[in-house]
Amino acid sequence: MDGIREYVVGVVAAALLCAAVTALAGKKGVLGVSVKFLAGLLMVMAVISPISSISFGHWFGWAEDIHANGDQIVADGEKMAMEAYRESITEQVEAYILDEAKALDCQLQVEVILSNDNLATPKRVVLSGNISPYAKQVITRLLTDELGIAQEEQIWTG
Amino acid sequence: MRKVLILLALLTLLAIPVAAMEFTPPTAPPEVEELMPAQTESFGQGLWKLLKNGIMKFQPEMAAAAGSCLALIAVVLMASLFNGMPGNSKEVVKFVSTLAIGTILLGQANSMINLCARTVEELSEYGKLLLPVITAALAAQGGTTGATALYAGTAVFNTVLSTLIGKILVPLIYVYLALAIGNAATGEELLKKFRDFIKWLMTWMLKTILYVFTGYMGITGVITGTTDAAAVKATKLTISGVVPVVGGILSDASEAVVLSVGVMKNAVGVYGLFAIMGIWISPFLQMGFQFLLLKLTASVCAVFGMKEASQLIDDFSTAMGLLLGMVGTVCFLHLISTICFMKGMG
Repeated sequence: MDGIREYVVGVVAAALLCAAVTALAGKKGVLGVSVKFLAGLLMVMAVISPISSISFGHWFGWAEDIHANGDQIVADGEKMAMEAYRESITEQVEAYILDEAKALDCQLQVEVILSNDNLATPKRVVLSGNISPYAKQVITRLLTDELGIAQEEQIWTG
Repeated sequence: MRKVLILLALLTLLAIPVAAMEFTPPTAPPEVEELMPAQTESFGQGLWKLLKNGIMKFQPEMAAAAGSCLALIAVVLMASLFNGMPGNSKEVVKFVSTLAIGTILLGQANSMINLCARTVEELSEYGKLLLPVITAALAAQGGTTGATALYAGTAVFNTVLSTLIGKILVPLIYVYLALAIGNAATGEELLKKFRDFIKWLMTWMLKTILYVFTGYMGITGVITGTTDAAAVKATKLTISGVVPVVGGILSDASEAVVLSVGVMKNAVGVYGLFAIMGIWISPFLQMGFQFLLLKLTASVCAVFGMKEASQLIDDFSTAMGLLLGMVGTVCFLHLISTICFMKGMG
């Protein structure tokens, strides 16, 4: 950007100089024609010479930085959404199990662990509390059939 | 107003069981916050309030601008009288009147140029703060491809435009005014040509950037919106294939996240739109008023038969117009970008 500004200001400064010199020299006579010729030459040099040194290399690196920043922000947004999604699923699955246990007159503590994939399905459950063999059997079947948690992933403690 | 929006977002979070996320818009500068509407129930009412507050804040500036214009008319009238007197050199009168007009208007133009540069910087800085928040919100809503593309487009164009204005266009306004004064004082054709070239260059740069940006955002929005919508649909299909009870829970959780993020994203977007317009409105009105007043003065001065003086005042009004264009372009860029993010996946 600085280069472009310097270029335009340079050309305009040359134009101002040319206008001033041409006005002082007058429009007629050998002096007037010579000054006009020299002013024209100066203008051509001011316009053409800086163009050869223009380089665009650094622009691409800068655009890549913006892309990298964008990717990072998007990844952060996705991560936040995934955390909220997982938290919501965990809460809802735990509430569902506790409701079913309550219907069977059981007091349980439940901890649900979700799979690490994008779907975040319930993978493992850790249960504790006083429960009758019948209620345990019902809950086990419910966890397997309705929540898709394999029996070996249902851990009963206490 | 920010507090109301945060409260709304928090109430939404209470209604839907998604508590891990919070997207808050960056606070607008204090002087802008004063102009912003107190509630956002109706966008139209909010806009009206913003405009009203902007006009109320700007009123005191009117008297000073009108005073300068009266001084200009007096200068041109005097020059016209001197011009008509026998024995006076027309060249000298032209030179002196140009100098007087330049002296009256340069200070005013300088403060407007500084105001423009400051406003562009403020808009750009606010945009840089708002952009990551709204990008993350769109990504959280499932518009990953769109968020990446819109972020890249907005960030690139915002940086290019603000740098272009700060480093090239604002200095070029001074060059434009110098050429206009030079042309009015000497009548040199070369200076007139360069003055017109500078004006064309600045207008062309602003227009091109705006056209390319609008095109990019429009095309990107359509393409990425379709891609993201297809990806969300595919996820829903996968969820529906899972065991019924779990499937229902997953589906509810997914819907809750999308809904709450959507509400938060819109709240951020609406606040952002008001903040952007709040930063823009006061300087825009100020410059717009100067622009119109100078145009009117130039027309009045033309009656006295002082062509160069009238042209010089007109050139100063053109400079104000260019400043308006710069501020307007940056504001429009941020508004379009925010609306694209709010629209998201369509």
